Amino acid sequence: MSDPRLHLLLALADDELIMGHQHGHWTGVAPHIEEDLAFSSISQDEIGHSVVWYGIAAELSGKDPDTLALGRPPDGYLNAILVERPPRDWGYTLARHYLYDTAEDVRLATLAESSWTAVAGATGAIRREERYHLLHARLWLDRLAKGPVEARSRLVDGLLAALSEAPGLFEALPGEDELVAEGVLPVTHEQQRRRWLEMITADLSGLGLDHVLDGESHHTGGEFVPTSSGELLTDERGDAANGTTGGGLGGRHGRHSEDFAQVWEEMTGTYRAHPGASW
Amino acid sequence: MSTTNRFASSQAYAERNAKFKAHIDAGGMVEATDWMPDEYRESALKFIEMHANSEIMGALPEREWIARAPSLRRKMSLTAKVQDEVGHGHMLYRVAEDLGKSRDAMITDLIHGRTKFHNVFHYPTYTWGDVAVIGYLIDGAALVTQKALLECSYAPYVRVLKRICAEESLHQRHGENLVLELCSGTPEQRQMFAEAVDRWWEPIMQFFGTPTTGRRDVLLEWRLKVKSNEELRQRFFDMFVPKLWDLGISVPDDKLAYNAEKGEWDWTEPDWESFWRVVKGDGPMTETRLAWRRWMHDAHAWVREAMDSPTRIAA
Repeated sequence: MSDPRLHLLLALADDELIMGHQHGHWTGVAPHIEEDLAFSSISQDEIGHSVVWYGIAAELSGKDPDTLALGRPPDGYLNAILVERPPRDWGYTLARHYLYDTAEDVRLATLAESSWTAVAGATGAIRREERYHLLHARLWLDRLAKGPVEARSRLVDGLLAALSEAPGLFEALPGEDELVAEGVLPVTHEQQRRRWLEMITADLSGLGLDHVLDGESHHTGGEFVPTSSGELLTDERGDAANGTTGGGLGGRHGRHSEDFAQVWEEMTGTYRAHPGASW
Repeated sequence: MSTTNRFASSQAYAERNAKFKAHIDAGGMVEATDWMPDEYRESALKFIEMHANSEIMGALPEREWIARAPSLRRKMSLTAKVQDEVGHGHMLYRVAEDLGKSRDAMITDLIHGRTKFHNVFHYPTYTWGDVAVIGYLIDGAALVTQKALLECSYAPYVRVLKRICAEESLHQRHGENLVLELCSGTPEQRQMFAEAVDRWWEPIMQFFGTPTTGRRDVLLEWRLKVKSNEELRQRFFDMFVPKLWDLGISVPDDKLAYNAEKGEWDWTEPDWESFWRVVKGDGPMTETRLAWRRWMHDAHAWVREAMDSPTRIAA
């Protein structure tokens, strides 16, 4: 695990696997049948992409893809903390889906220029599918942002929670300098993060939602009193001030949140209970 | 003259009804836009709505295993399979809607326990063996039933069933593949499957319904189904019992054997009391699954509102 190239692949693969795993929690129970079908497809795509990255990692490590995907101890996983959070409500799910897939877009555009041909070559097919994820995510972002009021408010809450941990997607990898020097990683994760921030700032500004980037919800705080002319009494601003920088780090070093224990337990339990079995 | 009018119109209904019945009996098909007797419309709606409900509720026992699937390949294929079932529910609700009940009303009735779904989806799952049994035997039982329905009289249902049967055939192969892996795997894997067959056999026998009821079956009369419960069960035995025996998996029915003289299988009738209890909403998982669906439905009312609402906030 000291090979920076393996770190890169496992970070990519683990993000995709765990993101697909979380999306899969909506299969059969999404708020709308059409969305159930859409989310199941996205989930399969993400897991399919993880198979591509685990495949390259398998050649490098000599371990088969299932062993890599389901047979490592919790601290061996290099996914960002953002993707290991439970799906919570649809507002959070959609906000995370949007932030994750915009980040993916930047990441894959970067890797398409990689000097490592196996990696650059793999991005083509993945990006063709990711294009639809992005269309789907933006469609929902737009729809919820434009109301009704509850939808917009839940989207804002979801964005605040997800944004606070999204920088973890761009956490520097151990050995990143070496990867950059070799052109395997054409630009650093910090540079990718800035590109991503530009992209989402443009989208969010267009919807009058750029305040979430500063960790502000601009929800109405306080208590409404139904007096003759109405009173809205508050002692403070109603913002749940969430920092949007510096959050959600640690994943690339195998340090995870308390939520990951449950993800790992559920995702790897059947596999671990039957060593050597074929399914 | 009003009495004459009433008399005349009821005559007309009886005449149209008789003409419709003759059309059905002669193998004629019915489209959503055709005139149809109320009894036909209501029976078709009840039947197709129940089928749609079953696809949606059938997603629940299997989806629990997507998160716990033992390999990447199985995780993706199980997701695809459950997605197909939800897709079938989607198509079937649309067919049912054209008969005169909104999807919203059907979902609301389902989650409040006012309408029914197949008995087999009221039970819990314990191991990956259950996933194999559902994919192989329960989908197999459903396929036997659905293939027979391709000859029914309601054309929009038949069109959708053609697609459903094509996908279910794939599920069946997927199920068979799961079974073969378990039966040729470790002793624990084999045991896992054998135990699941034991658990599910009685619910599967119940799934086909009682051999004879002695009561009038309106669905048969209107050719909304064409085969009797017993014909379908016998076909299921033909297809699956020899295969299970070949794999060395026994079935928990001592009486089960092919009777060459009668040209059909002898079998033991299950406990029909428990079948009635389950389909009326008192199965081991009925309330848990419906309560969960109710909660999810209520908690996400705002999403449906966002999808339907003309409210638009200026950016």
